[in-house]
Amino acid sequence: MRKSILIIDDDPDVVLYLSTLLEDHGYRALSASDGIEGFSQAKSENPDLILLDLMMPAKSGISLLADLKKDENLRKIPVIMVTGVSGETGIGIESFLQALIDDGVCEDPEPAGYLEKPVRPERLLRLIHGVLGNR
Amino acid sequence: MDTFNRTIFDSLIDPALIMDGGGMIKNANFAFLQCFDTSIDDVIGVHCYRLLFDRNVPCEKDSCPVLGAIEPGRNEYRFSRDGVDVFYEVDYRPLSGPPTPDSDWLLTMRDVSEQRRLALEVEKSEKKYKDLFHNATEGLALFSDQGVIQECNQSLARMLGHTRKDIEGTSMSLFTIGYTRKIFENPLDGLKTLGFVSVELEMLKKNGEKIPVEADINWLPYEGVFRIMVRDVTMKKKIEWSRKAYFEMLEREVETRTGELKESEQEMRRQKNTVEGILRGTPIPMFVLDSNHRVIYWNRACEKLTGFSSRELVGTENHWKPFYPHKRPMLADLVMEGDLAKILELYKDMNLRASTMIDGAYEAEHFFPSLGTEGIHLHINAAPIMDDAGKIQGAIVTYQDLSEIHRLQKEKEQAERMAAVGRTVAGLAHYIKNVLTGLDGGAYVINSAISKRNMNLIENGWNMVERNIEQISGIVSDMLIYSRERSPKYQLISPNELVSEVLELVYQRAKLAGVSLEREFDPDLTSVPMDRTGIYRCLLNLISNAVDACTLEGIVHGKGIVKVKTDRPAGWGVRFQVEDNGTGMDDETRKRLFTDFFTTKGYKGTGLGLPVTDKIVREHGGELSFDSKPGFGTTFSLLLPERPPS
Repeated sequence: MRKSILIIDDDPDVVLYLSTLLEDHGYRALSASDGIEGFSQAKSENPDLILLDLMMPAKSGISLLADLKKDENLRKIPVIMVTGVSGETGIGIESFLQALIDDGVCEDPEPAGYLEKPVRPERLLRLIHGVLGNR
Repeated sequence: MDTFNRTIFDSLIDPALIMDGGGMIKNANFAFLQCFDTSIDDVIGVHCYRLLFDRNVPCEKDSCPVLGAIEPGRNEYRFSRDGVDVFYEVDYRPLSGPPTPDSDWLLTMRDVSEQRRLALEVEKSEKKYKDLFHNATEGLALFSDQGVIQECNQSLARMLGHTRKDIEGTSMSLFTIGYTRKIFENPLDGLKTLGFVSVELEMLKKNGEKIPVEADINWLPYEGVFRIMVRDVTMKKKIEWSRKAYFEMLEREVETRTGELKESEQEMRRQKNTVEGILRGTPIPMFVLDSNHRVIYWNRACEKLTGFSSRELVGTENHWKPFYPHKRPMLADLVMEGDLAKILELYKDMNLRASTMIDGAYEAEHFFPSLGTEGIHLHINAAPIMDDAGKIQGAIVTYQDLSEIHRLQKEKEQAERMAAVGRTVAGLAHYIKNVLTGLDGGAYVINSAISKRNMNLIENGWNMVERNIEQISGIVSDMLIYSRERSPKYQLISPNELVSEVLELVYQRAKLAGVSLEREFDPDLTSVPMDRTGIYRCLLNLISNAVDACTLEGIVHGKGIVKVKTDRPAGWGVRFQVEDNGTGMDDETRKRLFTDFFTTKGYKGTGLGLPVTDKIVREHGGELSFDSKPGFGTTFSLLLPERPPS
């Protein structure tokens, strides 16, 4: 059975690109264009992996990550963060994730991996393989 | 009497009488009979008191001692003859031998009337003299040639603080001091010979004080005394002295004042030189007018600026010459007159404003083509000069060459833009990364589609590529606009038409996002000169922003509405207003709005939009402003002038 990957990104071009790429490599691609849609998709489809874009206008990637980790069922799904500018996100995430641990929300909120845009296809595939390969 | 005796008796000049001790006249001489105008018979046997005084009894003893006299004597008798008093001195003696009660007496009479009269006169004049002497206000004294004071008057006594008794009988030298004392000690022969001398000397008072006097000393040869008249000149001396002192003081005052005057003159000259030195040396061009609008000062810097020497202009009213082709009032002239209306009229195009620092002073800026080689941009500051009373005495004008400043300003702007471009490159990194991703992605999808022979996918992929290419074009175009100094290419454009075009372009996108576009155009708007491409870009930017504002964070009040209005406020060519009911902007956003590359739009925002818009608007001489309320929406206003700036 094909593994399903949920792509959450507000840029439709990115969605098109990544879904084509993933489909070409034997994955089933799902997509959502914002955090709210993404959360409901995750709940209903229960994907094997989530590719999460950090910089999203309505509901930021980080806040969606928090929501996912808070959810009993969804926190198990590995998340790969996709970000435009690495430096900017680094600091925010650290303290944020620490807060999650401190609040007892989740012991291991760390995303499974980070990926910088522009996305290199080989790198993405290798990362996904690495995350899903372990399961 | 025998004849011999008779003859002698009668030859006596003086009247004579022989009588007995009882007064009975026995004989009288010729002179007597003559004198009393009588005859011998009338005389002999008559008593003397009868004959002479018509008395029946002898005269009183104290008035006539003759009868009963026991020794010879003399007595004076007064007779009245023809109403005139006649005085006789009567000498009486016994006719012979010593006086006995039986003796006959011989009386000889001498008329002493004249003598007596003279004596009386003398007495009178002596009294008068004595009076004068004693009543004189000057001190008077008579002293002998040995210096002994015989008599002095009360005034002198008072002057010396003594009584007359103290002084009279003492030596003059007791009351004199110094060398003058010597004069009075020695026999005063020298003085005697001189006869008269007038000296100033000091006399000694009883209490030891010295009193300055003027003394006139006379030798009175007849009286054999010196007379000294003494005047107390203390007062005179005091006055003299004080007058002297006063004059000396005046002299000193005059000297001091003259000295002070000289000093202050020098000080003024020094100050004038200092001020002139400052004015001359200052690199700020300036000139000064007096109250008659004549140039009184034209400094070196001004000479250099204008090419007109101070010699040519000082004293004239030709300060306009270097600046204008024809004579006209300059700001300096106008601030002196305080004619605000005229100032506004002549200088309204020259960025005129009242000086914030100096009352009554004005500043302006103007380009003067006649100055320098190609004309110079000058900042003018003209201020009235007022005296302490606030009366206008003239005007002072200073210039500042703005050319340099303008050039520097332009350089600075350019440098800033270059720096901004530099920052842009960094700031756009993530954006460009997105675009590159898009291009990469598009290329991948196309390749994949081709290999799968999926036409639809090919189309999708190609659209992606196209879109991203357009994005890059947009960025490059924006960057070029922003980094380069552009002058707008003006054409007469209808604002409503231009906005309509933009709205058409945005329409699809807005519809997709669920935002409705509304328009409120002023139908009477006339065409306004503007750079078509530039303003198109601005409107596109503003309207896109408005649409994004309604979609990005979610609508707070119902559906998103973007309203575009056009109108023409007073003094402007056109105003575009773009109103949205999106999220509005908080303070933080507002502050960073026009700073480079701030964007709230995530992947879609370059951050270049508003700075570019702002720049284009400014180049047109227009204004870009906004009003925003978080939670309610934002309105942007773009104003363009009627005429492009010259």
